Amino acid sequence: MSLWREVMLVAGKDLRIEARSKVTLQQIVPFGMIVLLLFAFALDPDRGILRRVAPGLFWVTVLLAALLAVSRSFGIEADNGARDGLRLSGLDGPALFLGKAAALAVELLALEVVLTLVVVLVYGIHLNTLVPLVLATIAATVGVAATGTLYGVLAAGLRVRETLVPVLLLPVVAPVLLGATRAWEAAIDGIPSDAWPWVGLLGVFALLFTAIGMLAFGPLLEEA
Amino acid sequence: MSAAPVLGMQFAGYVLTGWVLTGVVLGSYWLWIVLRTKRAERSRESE
Amino acid sequence: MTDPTATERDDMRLLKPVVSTVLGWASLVAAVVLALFGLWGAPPDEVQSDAQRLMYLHVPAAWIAYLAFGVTALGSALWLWPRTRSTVWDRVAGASAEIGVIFTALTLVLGSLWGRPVWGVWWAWDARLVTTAVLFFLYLGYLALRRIPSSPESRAKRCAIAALIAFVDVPIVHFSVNWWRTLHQQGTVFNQSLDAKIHGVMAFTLWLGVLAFTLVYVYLLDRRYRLLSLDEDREDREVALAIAERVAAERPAGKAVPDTVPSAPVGGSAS
Repeated sequence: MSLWREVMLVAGKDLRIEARSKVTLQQIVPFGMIVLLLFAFALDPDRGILRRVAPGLFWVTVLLAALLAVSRSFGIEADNGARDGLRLSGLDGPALFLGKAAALAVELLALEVVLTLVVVLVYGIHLNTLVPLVLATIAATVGVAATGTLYGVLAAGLRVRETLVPVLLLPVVAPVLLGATRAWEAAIDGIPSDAWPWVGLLGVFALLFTAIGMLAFGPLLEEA
Repeated sequence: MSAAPVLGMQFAGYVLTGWVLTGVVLGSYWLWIVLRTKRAERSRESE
Repeated sequence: MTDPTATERDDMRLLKPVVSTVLGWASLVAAVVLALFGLWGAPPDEVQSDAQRLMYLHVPAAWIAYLAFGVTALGSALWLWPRTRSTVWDRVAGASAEIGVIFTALTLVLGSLWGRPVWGVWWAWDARLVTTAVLFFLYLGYLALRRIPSSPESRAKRCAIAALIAFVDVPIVHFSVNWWRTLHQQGTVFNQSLDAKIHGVMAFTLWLGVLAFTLVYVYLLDRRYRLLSLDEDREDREVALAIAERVAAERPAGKAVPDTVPSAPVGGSAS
């Protein structure tokens, strides 16, 4: 089977499980919305603070929700020897990695669409220049999905997986938070062309961690 | 910890805290390693 | 009296005992000389006055934090590479990481103590301090990963890959944080960077600091490595003993017990 078909197979499996269980839709998206609401409680909505910090709050919320999504991505293989099934399936590491990361990215993008709506409607920001914004978002999401899948498989067999992955993942994706927030700020409130260097950084991060993930997923899965 | 010179040094509080803290942290770490090592060596000997 | 080191394998020390002792004393001497120069011999700075004396600790500590991290990454890479795979590298990586986290914490605290008199605040979003803070958390995650019990092979592989991922991330963090903070430098009080103009005795003292800290690092690395070896060796023996007892208990009396028992723990399950 070609790499592409293997990737589609794995991604399709994960997405089909999501379509049937609707965990992202019914649990993770609400979680994201609640966090955005809590931020509004924590800050003063009347003094324009929310508008100014909206990009940052948005991306912090996405990262927190990604922790749940990663946990879920590997939780679905915890039972019934599903992980053994993956190992024995004959699909190789890179394909498994790309498939799982792609499914995770799709789920995160869906989440981001909903949260963007919330932020536009509730925090009151205006999405002015869309192109750098969308590209930054895609690059950031790929980066988070790749890194999340990487740490997800690293912690897959461990009982402490759920508390370990956040501690490992969040420092590593700090540059993504930085870049995505700055790109959004430039696109929304500042000079849109300022966003492009950050889009570049996000792209480099995404490529780098996708490459690392393709190399490391197989060996890590063996130990899980 | 103000800028008033103490022992002829300005900001002596910060400076001395920093130096003493460094010494204490590294010294305690060293001591911890030494004591644990001795314990581990003793338990090997007794086997 | 039996020599306790007689049963030791070769890989339980990094340096010969003599070298280690000499290094320990050299570190101490260097530290004392550094204190003499740092606290007294070097003149106070024109702008920062005596607060600058903390630089002689803060900068070398930061240097060692990064060095230790590099050693952890190197050890991890050497372990992962099949031709050089050996427990030695896994232990070096682990020992160096622990020392690194201590020096990183010191760097942050010393930076804070230095920043307070110079900037007036305990913390500033200076690019280097922020990167060091991220480095601290990267290390902590690695140490948390190391604590998880597993078969040695599993744990070493997981930790090695995690160390390399983190190592690759550091330049990206550094670059992005730097960029972020320099974009925001307009009109902030913290434009006055911590880098005083140093020359003469002050530069000498700084290098002395780097030397002293490097000696301390290597010495601590050797000793921590040895402790790690002793602890891991004891664990191996305890597991082997437990397996042997189990095997003996399950065999009915009169049947032979196998000569050899597995000396390494069996593959790790969910832990």
